[in-house]
Amino acid sequence: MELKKLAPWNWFKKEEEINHSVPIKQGKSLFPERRDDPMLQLHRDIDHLFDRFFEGFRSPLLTGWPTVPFFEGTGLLKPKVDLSASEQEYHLTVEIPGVSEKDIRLDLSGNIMTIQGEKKQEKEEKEKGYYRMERRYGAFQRVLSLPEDVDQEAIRASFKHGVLSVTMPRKVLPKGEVKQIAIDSES
Amino acid sequence: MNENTALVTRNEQAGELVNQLPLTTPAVDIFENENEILLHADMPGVVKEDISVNIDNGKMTLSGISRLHATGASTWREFTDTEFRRIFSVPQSIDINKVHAELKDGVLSLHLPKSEAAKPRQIEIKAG
Repeated sequence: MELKKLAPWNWFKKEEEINHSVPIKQGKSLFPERRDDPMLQLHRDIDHLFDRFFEGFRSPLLTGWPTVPFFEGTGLLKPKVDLSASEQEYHLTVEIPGVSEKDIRLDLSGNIMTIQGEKKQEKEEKEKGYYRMERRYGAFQRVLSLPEDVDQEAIRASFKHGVLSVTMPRKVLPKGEVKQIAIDSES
Repeated sequence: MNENTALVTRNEQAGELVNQLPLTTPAVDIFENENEILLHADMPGVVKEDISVNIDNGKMTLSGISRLHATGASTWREFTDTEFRRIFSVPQSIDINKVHAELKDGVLSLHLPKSEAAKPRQIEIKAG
């Protein structure tokens, strides 16, 4: 049994790479960097999980904005996502209020799915005086690493009431063939 | 005897909590021009039927319920089914009868027209 399978799929592997690409974390790991050891990988994933959890507490202080977190390095808006999984499919929902479906782009490259677009402010409003501006405008992006068993040809997406939902059917992965190797007896 | 009463009270509270969705304060933009005050509120996932706007005694309560029926087990969660709720003070210059709203792409746009008396007017000066 593969130890890797015990760890839940990390949908945000790529996104974390983007997030952490500028600041290099140092002195984080207690273990020497050895990519091949699955146990260490598991450790690292759990570390990430904790980091992400505590990021939620940290972000309001850093950005002054509790509900819309940003990508650390890129300054893009980061809409909230929910993910769920059933036997047949994965389901992704993204909160993108105030954007029409024309302004959303869903790209797939390899197993990396990028959701991006821009929330535009209507022109006439700019000319008015305002009391409050809490809603954020600008480019947004989320990056997801898709699991191996997603049937990429059958991904469907719809946009309704400011929520993008993406359905990703799962396919049965071909099992690795077992090859028997004959043992010669020296006699 | 006192302890018993406390226990009952606590049970009732627990029962109320079961039906309650978590509350979220929607982000709003509020603009004003000569004719009206315009409010935009982000309420993703809310359908028209689940929105209510009540104006009472100078207070406007905005409420909308977002229900997304997700299939399968949740694996990652950044938002949940929620009730968006926010209360605003409405100035007296607003003509409450003419307040109207539309919902598009998860954004509620609420128009609060000013009453005729509150609009800026130019007073004509007659030559005597």
